[in-house]
Amino acid sequence: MKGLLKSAWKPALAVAMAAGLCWLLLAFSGYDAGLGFTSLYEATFKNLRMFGNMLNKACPLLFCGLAVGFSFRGNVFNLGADGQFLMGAVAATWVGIALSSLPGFLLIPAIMIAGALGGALWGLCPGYFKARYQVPEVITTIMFNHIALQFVAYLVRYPLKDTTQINPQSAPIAAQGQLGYMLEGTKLHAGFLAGCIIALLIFFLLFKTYLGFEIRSVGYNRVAAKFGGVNISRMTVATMLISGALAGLGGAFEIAGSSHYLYEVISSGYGYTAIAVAILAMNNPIGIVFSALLFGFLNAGTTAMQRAINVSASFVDLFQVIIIIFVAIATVATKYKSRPTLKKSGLKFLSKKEVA
Amino acid sequence: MDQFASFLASTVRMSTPLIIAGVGLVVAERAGIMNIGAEGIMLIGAFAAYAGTFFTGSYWLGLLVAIAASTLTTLIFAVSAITFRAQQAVLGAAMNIFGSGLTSVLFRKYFFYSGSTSGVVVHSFPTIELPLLSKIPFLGVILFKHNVIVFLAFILTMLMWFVMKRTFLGIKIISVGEHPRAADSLGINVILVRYLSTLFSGAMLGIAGAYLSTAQSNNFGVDMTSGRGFIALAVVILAKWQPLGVLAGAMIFGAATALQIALQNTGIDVPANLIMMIPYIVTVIAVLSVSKRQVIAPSAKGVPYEKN
Repeated sequence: MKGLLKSAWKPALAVAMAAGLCWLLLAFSGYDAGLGFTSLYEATFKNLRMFGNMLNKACPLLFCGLAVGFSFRGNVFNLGADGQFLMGAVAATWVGIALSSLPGFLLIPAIMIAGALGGALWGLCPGYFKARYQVPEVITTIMFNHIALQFVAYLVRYPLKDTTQINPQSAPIAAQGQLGYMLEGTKLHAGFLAGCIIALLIFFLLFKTYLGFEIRSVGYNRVAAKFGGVNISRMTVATMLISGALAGLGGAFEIAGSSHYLYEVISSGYGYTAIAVAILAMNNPIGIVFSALLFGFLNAGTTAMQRAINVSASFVDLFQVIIIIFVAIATVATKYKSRPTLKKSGLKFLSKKEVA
Repeated sequence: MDQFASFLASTVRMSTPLIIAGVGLVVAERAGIMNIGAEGIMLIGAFAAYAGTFFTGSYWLGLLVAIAASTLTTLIFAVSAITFRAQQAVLGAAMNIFGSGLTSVLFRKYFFYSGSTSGVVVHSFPTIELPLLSKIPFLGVILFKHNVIVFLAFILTMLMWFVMKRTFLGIKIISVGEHPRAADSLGINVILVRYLSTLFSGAMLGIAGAYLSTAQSNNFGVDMTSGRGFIALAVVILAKWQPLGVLAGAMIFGAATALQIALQNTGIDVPANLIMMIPYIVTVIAVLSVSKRQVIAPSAKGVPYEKN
């Protein structure tokens, strides 16, 4: 409990500061900040239906946040969760339509596997380029995001277009492949719950398995990891594969749970918000569940806020920025302070307890 | 022949923002700072130039506003990355979200009229024909019939080539990026050099953004940079961290974009969305082909410096 408090005060302070600054910003720009924050709050807590809606909105952020946080652990800056999410959604839609003869208990797993594979493959290329040719992943992953975005726009206009609709969108996936609603009176699907379980699995993978240890060792100190016998290239590729699969799975849940069909803006920048989600949780998978809830809450409320006080829904971006910068600085400040003792610094991962 | 000339002229126009941004980023990266926030900072420049031009009526004042706004935004990045030594990639990602969010909010507040997604058209930099030079057949159209920022881009590149190769300041910048500790022991103020280089890259990104909204077009659009900041980072790699190399690197992407536009205008029977992938695919292939040949980046790139 003491450890939890010790690690949670920085994110908590960051959130409080961001909220305070945003309030001031709104007030100084002549908006009714009180009304804005009230509408933000009501968009989630007004009734059970709204609450379920918020959990659904937090679901893609949870998966993309896990993807980004996982890659940061391995010192890979996967800014491409957005593209991987989209390709996961594409694969899921395709399977959901093509294998419509399968019964539900087979089709739903097939959709999920397809989503994870789609995302993993989309993450594999930048990972391989980084491992083999030292191409900076920050550039390639962003380029892959743009390519994926255009690819989805193409698919929903031509090969996958539902000709009965005016707007460019795909046909819905088979009904037995769609996830049911978990709570009466809500549209809550199993995505967020599944995300929580996967967060636990990722936590286990990172901190209790040899693979996780190797990935983290690359993140802590590349040189030391290399001398310790870790194959850096393989770990980079593995990190991107798993990270891409997580984001792709998020895309599959979005298709099977929420929209049931593919459309152009199925990701409203989830992969970018995910950076804030991961940073706020300091890349801890369990923490990411909570920060995904926070950002899901914000995302669910910004449209209401836009309606209430006519401030752009992008206002939530500024909230993210304050949080990221504050946490990034706070992390480094404490890291450097503990440096002279060598206990808590980069050498920590070599301690006997963790090797064993 | 005429069509080819206008394609090359379009290439020059499309590569201009990448040249300006690339030169700025080369200087920052030579000093050891990887400014991944280029995209967001450029977007702020584009918006500031648009807003400045709208309210003052002068695109020159708009350009100044863009430089000031982008430099100020870069200052946030610089303080966190250099003084507080936070991770540059993380901060850069934050700057991109910041640029996208802030410009969307402000654009909606001040320029959003009854549901239209674009704002009011403003005055933009006119095309100038350089006397005599623009009369040269073929080359005249390609090189000497552009707006003033295009010429400015070439002058800036030459200037920075001179600074980096022939002045003591250039050596200072490079040494700070290669081995900050050694530079420090020789009495070079590492922190100051890094601050100035980073802020310079911010000012350049501001000009590049201003070009997008008040020279290449006469309007601002939400997220109008569409990846150009990251392509500029790719140009830096292609240029092997040399100012003159930026010209060549930027031309490749300029040509890819010009090709995309030309293909769309010819009404060729390929879906527009597939054509729009071209610049991004070219970026990946180009960076990949250069990186295969083992380009050496400044050794302290992205590593914070802590003075003892």
